Amino acid sequence: MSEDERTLEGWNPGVVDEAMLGDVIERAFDYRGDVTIVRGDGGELTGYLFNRDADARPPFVQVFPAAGGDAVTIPYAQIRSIRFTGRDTAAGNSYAAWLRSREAAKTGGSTRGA
Amino acid sequence: MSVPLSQMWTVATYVLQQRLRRNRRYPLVLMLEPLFRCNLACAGCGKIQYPGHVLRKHLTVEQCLAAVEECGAPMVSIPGGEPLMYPEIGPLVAELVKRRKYVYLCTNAILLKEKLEEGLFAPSKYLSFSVHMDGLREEHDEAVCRDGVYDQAIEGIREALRRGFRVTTNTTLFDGASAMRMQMFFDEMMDLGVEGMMLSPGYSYSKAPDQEHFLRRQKTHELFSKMLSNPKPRWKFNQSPLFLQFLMGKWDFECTPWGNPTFNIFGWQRPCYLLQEGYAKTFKELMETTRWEGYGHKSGNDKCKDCMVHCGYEPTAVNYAFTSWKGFKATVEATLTGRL
Repeated sequence: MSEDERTLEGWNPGVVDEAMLGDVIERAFDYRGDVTIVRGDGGELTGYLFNRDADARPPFVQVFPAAGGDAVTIPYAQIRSIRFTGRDTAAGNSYAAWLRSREAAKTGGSTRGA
Repeated sequence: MSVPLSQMWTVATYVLQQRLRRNRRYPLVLMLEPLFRCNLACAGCGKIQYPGHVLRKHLTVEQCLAAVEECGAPMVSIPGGEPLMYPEIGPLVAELVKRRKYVYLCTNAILLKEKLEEGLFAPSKYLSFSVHMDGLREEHDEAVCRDGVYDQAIEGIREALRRGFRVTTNTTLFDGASAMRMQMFFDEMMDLGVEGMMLSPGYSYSKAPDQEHFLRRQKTHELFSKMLSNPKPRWKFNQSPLFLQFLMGKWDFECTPWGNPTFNIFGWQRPCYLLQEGYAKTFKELMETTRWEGYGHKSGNDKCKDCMVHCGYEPTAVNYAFTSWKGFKATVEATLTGRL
């Protein structure tokens, strides 16, 4: 896999402590796929984490649930772990990959063959 | 330049009112993104890489209008995603026109002919279709990663013009663009009869597939100087001449990141149309709590280092034109003579 095609897809950092939580949330915020948030009570929510505010009192994340509905706000303090469970929609479609598929289409070959 | 007088007047009086109120930061154009869904997947675009359930979401007309009222900018640009895929685009545009907002509906025009035939829009001086055209057929189809789109866009433009609509084009330029080919493109757009063209260098979105072909500052100056140093009088640009001169390296402007604030399904985007560093619930919160000093060319922020994109620098150029004699004189000169 080329550098521009590396992804966090499938990453499970396990239970995160307070020091690590901010970093994992930043990565989830930057991730263009769904994540699964595990709460302190064991409950899980899968969806797209589109916002976070570490400076708010209390700090929170906002998620659009994959199942649909309005955005859900979850305080940092309730988050035990975040798993990167959804497909990374920004990965695997690099410019190089597009050029390969274009060339393949022109020659009538497979888009994955190059 | 081709910006209609009534629009220029609206913008000029708006800017002067803001200055008289001693308002240091104010928006010029609201970037209203009702959806992220698109019928293209261009290599230079970082706007559409989301899970399916996010792409299926869109703002309601009421949410859009509330954002427009809250922001107060005299112009509203509707990008996306592809706004012609937004199911409420007709009613939304009608409401904005009723409110006398100058609307730029930014479209790839694939659906334009079809939507015009459906009678979704009525011609108005407040409504302009801003058609995405990244050059002549070869360059455009390559930029949008699909053959045949250029011809579809031309068909859409012709139909819109035939029906009496205002049509402009918006062009993003990437590394490797040929000044000569772009000049041929300007001729072609003028032959078609578009009202004016908008140009901007591309921005290297971190989520865009193509990271290799974004222009850096020096190359931007060289390309725009080559393209525009001796412009044909028939070329009309629907943007501030000072912004074009900035791209040519004639002005040293700083970014105005709050000039084109962005609202979408996530809220008010911090800090600008291009960077996604978080979202505010309200426009007031966006303006008052964003650390603006951390953005712009001189801030030292790596993400802003090479950016010369219109959404940050055109507001600076417009403000300069209406708030300094030097800027005003240069704008009048360029407008009257057509020289840049």
